[in-house]
Amino acid sequence: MSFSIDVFLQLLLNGILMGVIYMIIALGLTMVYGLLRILHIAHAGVYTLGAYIAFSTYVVTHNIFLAIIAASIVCAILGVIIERSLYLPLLDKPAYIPLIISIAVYLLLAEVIAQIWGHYPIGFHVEEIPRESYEIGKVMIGFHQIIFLAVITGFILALWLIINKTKIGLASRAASQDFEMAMAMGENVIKVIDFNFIIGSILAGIGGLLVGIYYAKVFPYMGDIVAYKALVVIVIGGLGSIAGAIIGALILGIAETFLIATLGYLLPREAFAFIIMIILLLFRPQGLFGKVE
Amino acid sequence: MQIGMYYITLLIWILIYAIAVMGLNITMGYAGQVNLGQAAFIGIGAFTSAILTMKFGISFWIALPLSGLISFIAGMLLGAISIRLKYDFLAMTTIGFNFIMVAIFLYYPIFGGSFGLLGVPRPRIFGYKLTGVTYLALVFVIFLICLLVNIWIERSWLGLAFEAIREDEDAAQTLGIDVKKFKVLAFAIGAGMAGIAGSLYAHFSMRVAYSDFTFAKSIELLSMCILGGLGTVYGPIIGTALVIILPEIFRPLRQYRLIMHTLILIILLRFQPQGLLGKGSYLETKIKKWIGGFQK
Amino acid sequence: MDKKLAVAAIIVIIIIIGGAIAWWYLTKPPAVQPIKIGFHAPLTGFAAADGLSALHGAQLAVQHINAKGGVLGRPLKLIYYDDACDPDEAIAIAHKLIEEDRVVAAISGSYSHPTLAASAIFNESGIPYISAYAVHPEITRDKPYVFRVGLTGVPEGKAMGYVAGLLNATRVAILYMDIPFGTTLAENAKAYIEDVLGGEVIYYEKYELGETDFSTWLTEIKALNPDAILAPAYYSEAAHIVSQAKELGITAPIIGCEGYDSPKFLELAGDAAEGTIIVTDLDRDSPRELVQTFLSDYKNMTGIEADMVGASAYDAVLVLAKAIEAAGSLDPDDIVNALKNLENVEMVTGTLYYFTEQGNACKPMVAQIVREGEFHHYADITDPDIITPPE
Repeated sequence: MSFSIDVFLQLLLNGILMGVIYMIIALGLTMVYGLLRILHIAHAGVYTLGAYIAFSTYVVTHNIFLAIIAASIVCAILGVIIERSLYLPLLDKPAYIPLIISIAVYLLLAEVIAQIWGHYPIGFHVEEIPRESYEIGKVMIGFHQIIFLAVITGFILALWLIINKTKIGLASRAASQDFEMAMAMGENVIKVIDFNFIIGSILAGIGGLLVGIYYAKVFPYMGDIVAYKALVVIVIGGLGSIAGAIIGALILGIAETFLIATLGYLLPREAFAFIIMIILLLFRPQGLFGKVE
Repeated sequence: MQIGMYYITLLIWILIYAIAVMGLNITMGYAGQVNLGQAAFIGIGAFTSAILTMKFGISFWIALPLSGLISFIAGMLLGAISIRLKYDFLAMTTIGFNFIMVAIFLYYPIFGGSFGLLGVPRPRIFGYKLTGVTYLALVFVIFLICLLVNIWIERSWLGLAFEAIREDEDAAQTLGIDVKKFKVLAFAIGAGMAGIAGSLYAHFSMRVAYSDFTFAKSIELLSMCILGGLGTVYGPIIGTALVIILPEIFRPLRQYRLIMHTLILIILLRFQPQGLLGKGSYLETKIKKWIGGFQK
Repeated sequence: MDKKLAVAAIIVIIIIIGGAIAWWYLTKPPAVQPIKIGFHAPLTGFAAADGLSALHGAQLAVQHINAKGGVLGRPLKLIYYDDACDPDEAIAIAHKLIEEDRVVAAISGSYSHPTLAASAIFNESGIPYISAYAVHPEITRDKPYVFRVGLTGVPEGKAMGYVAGLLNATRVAILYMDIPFGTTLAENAKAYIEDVLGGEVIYYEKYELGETDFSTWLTEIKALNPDAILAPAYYSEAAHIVSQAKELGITAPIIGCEGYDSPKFLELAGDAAEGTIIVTDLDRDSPRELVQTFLSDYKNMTGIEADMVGASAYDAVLVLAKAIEAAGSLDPDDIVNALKNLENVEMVTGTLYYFTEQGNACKPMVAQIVREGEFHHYADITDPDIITPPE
């Protein structure tokens, strides 16, 4: 099937937006994996809670900036609680134990949220971000989409600066390269881990808020859509690689969009993503950007 | 129907799932190979049995072992794909396998789409239809056979090879154990048992649908296995019974069932990661002491 | 002496009065036992929103019926369980309701999967079972004890095609959810448009339940510029479809189904919902007193607007009560016969003309349009060729 150039560009934009949504969760996952070698699925729960905290704050205060701050604080605290109480004490246990705990924490968070706010999806309409669309050439882009892309791009730039230019960022990179060595060096490592969880969780919280606004709703099970997809993204990108996660997310978003547009709906999106992942692993067992050990 | 069908049904579910969980225990507990997609193998067995009996008119008594065999082969395939993969990549691949199988069940019309296959026949023996208590008897016999196989594996050279691979792959290799072969075998045996459980599942609930074999179900199976104690003979059975019975007892608190279920799992794994009956667990030490007391 | 006699007399009188009271108390007919009605719906998990609507609808019906003196002089009692939308749970609950709670009849406020699983058990045990809104055809097929008050897919799909005809749409795009509900609606709408209206379906694609991003499909549809878009979906997917269509600059009208019939659709879609036309069986502008009482009492009870799911569960209880009253007994076979003989029963979701041989309700439908954030009457659909469920 062939597209006109307009349709192609519109699909490309849709695919990039899709990829950016996966990227939000994938970045936090890959940062945690880089340090602790834990697949942090509960991250999707942190993301959902962020969206709800932001939503409730916005309903009460009608101030989007307060909503961002509230979501960031709550998510950062939750992230560190999960890390300190569940992950750190289990580092010497087989990896499936923290993995299953993580999945259970995600299910628990979603269910607690459903008990507090209700099982219904709730409409999330923000006055400051009107749902208007602009036509550029023949491509339609929504105001909320522009905001979404801008904030995430800003966040990734900030992340890059923090990791490459600050002391703690460099320490965190060092730790992710040789965790046991860093662990042996003592107390500072805990700070580095805390730092990663705080940054990752804030990103998840703000991501939840942005995706909530993007689709104009918050929903207790909104994490389902991204949780397993983000896992695929970080595996494709090579577990623990930040650049890999960014590229992996964009590849997945764009590939998915064009596959649906050309072949139709052959398989559910998750299955398609996992097929890509398994094929890739058959040829590169360490992922696209992973290092061979 | 003097004894309530309700209790018989519960017991049948416990035994069927216990068979699949014992299989998982062989793959994960004995051989140390993570499998987060066990539900997919139950699905393969269930659909095999349903399709063979419904579309080809084959007897249940032939379909039952065939379902185990097809699952066994599927397990070999997954094992072969996974041979080169390291721990987390392996975990992800098995998750992926589960999602892909569910998608196939959903998208290929032979599996009946989202409603699956309805009217899977009840097994008959000399023209007598097995339902209720008689089905329970059938499930119990097969459960016993699987339990014996499990015990045999634990005590045989196979169990020793699995244990060697679990503890240290490289060391096992130097001892002359064909690590690749035994890894594939561990997946295949675990999958085969799940396939048998799947067949029993299909002919009991009389319907099979993709939604019964999702990743969430795999996690449930895993939590049954871990709750009781990975790598023990009786742990998985007790874990299965607990995970199925607890929500029934807590039915009045039904709103909070999922919350309690996940909380119990988190707390248990955090403080007793070896499970209730695993080596060095609180219960195991108590029981050992108690038995020791008798022996004196 | 006289004093003692008087005391004795008083004692005797007290004993007699006391004995009389005790005798009256002991022989008084026992407190009226309620009639137990079983109910299951998903109260946790992804479908909990609809499950709670259904439960509230059923509870309201029980309230209304008991306020009017109950059935056969006895109050109704709803015994309900959470099936979490899981067929295995539904089977366990069916056994529990039949064997432990010993219900007279049961109602499903659940989706097709659990309802289908439970329907076999109720039918096997000979207990009348009414599905409120589950759509799968197999639920009632060849099960004499199972009935359904909600719509089935075939009439609803045809009705969607009929609405496209009302809009004079000849080039139609169909975007449907890949579950039997969506597939049945899409197939029948397509057939109606092509065979009855002589129109053309220029786009026919599916997506998965739970999808949130429709930009890919809508981009393709926009390039084809159809006269109307038919999109069978549930309210959550529907809200995304209408908002994302608007954001992509699509102006063709969108025609939906009863899955859209929820206040949540209006809330989630916001302004983008304006002008959407849906096929449903709940007419909020109906002048009938039953409908208006239901709408206002439901709002008072739950604090939210009623939807099709709640109304259907209400109707299921209502129809069951009518049948028990007509049967004059609690014998399951009498109740089933009474259900089969019901005619022209006023329900919130339109008049139940009769139950077909297979236990499906034959009843009219209604098209509603969203104006100023509310559903309003658009057209009645009473053509027997459309509304009669096929057997």
